[in-house]
Amino acid sequence: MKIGLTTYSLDNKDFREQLSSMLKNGIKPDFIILHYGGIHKFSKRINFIRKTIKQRRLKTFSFLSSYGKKIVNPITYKLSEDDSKQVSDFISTAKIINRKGINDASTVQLIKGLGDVIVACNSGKLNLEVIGISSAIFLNVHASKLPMYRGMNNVEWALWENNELFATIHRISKGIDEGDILLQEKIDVDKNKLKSISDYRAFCFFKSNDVMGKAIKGFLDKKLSFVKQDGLGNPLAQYYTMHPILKGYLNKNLSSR
Amino acid sequence: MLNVVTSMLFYVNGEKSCVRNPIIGIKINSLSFVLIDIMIRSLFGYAKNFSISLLFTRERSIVLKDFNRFVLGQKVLNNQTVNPWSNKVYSEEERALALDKAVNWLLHSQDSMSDAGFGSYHIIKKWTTSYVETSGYIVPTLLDYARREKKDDIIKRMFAAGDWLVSIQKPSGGWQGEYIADNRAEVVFNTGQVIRGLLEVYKQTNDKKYLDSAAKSCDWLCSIQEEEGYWQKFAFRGVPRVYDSYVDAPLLLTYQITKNELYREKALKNLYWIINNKQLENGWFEDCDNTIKRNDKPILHTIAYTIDGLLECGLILNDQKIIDAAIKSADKLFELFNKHKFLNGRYDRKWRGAQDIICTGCAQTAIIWLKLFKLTKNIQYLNAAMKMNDILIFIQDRGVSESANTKGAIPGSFPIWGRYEPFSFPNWATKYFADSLLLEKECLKEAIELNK
Repeated sequence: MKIGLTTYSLDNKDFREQLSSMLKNGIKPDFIILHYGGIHKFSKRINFIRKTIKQRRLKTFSFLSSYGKKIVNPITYKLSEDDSKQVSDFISTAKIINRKGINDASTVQLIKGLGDVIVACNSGKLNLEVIGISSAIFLNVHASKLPMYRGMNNVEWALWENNELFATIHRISKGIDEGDILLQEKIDVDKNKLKSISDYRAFCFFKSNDVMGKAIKGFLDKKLSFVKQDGLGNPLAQYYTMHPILKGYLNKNLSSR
Repeated sequence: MLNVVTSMLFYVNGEKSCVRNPIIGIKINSLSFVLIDIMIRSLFGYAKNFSISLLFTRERSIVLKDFNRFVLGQKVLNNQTVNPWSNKVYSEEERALALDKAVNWLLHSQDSMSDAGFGSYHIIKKWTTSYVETSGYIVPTLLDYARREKKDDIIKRMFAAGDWLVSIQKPSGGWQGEYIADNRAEVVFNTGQVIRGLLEVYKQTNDKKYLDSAAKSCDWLCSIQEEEGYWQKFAFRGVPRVYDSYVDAPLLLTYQITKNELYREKALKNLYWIINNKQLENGWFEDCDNTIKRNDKPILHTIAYTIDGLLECGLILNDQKIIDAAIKSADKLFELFNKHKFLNGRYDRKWRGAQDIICTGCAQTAIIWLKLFKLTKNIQYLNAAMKMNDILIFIQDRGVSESANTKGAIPGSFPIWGRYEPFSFPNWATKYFADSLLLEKECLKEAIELNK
């Protein structure tokens, strides 16, 4: 069985963390599908410039409004220098397949031609034609417990309900976060260190990406198999973006926990 | 359009029997003529309302503002429509201000009447006379607000409204339909809503005259209920409707005080008639619209009445079957709202939406979700209701200079020329908006406590 990854950019944080996790578990991916999205490449650059200008402007204003106040930088998690070097070295020799988009007909043909594959996805939404390729398994990282917290702001909802945080690797299916689960692991958090939603999100996503290698290795060694989720189709099992007022209160509570 | 004009010619010539349309070759029967006639009249009506509101009224800025934010404010990004209210979020202070503005408008509505009731404002026709039914259920809203904000003057105003309602009760025990100046016969649904007001005034004053009046009307409601459990005699347009579950609730509230078993029995009979005969497996209700012509696609306003009535009654009776019936429909609306980021004005039996936003229905739906949050403690209901209230505050917050006649009021539809109550600010839209904000505040407090 061939192993692969998909990404928009080779510098993408999630992609690099998942790749590092695979390498640490002795898995060397056979290919990386890099897709720019054709015309989107141009619009993406415009968007990037627009966002950068906006952020600079916001930073300038926030500097003025926060003058004299204590600035708390959010905690960030990133690969160690050794892990990062290992990833860069691997990428320099890896088979990188350039494609316009993950849902393009040429990409579908390519994946079909690869035979049995397992692909870790960092590619946005896959259409039904891609998901329907019988020889391929597409995996997604979900930084929360399934089926309990599907969809958006899953870390926030788990925190709001004072529930434990989980990392889940599951198969991508038609419904959002409804695919069969390959591995689900509890994330141990240090409440004294994490004081805001952004701290928790950064930590949970970092830890969740780190589980990818273990999940694929377990599957290849036949120690792990896919398990169906319970409770599909319930609208209340689908979590939606949290209202900013609720986020405000959650942040307040997290800082005092 | 040519087809319509041709059909019109046939109509003008008096050929009402089945004729073949020369343009598209289909047969036009008399029903088509009637529909075309309605369409032409409606188009003419709209053109007239638009012209008058833009040329001769002070409220032209409201119409222009809605044109600006609804028509020009909609964008299409990645093949998806981005609505003008997307990403509009209001702080707790802004929500409190929106509530105060809504209450002030309701009080202004009362001041604009010649009696103690509440009317509605139309951009062209101006103030109506008092609407009996809604005057009844506005009383609990304003009493709730007055108690929370400790405003005795508002409490006194509500006593006056209660006295006025008692004074206009029909000898049968019921209350008339629609506006007081219409002087219509008593209507079941409207009577139920007046009872809500009287019971609240009774609780506040302990004056038995209000309870006696409510009990008299309950006796009347019980006396005219059909054997099967629905109301047909004295029903609006003479047809049985499921939104009478919103009448069962005041019947049960009166039962709680008077302990008259008959009220409970009749309410239960109606409730089980609804859930056993009229609710589909997907939560949609048959016979739910307040018209006959569009009964296949009821408005959100009456759908919400039905659900809210079921939920309220289920909670009073502690009857899980009735509560589950309400949850089934409420969850469907929850799903639709989260998917589309708004709710349409009408829904057919497959929950396919049509028509612009009906603000009253939106506020009522938010209230249902808030009640479900209180019941289940599921934060998702509160989250959805808060997002719905954001949309309603966006609609209320027009950002133009307004007179007291419209400032703080919620229109019937968004945009204001929408088909439900066009160019109008019905008092019930603002009433439910105020209710929703009051309940949201309470639920948010509860959610924060649970989160600690």
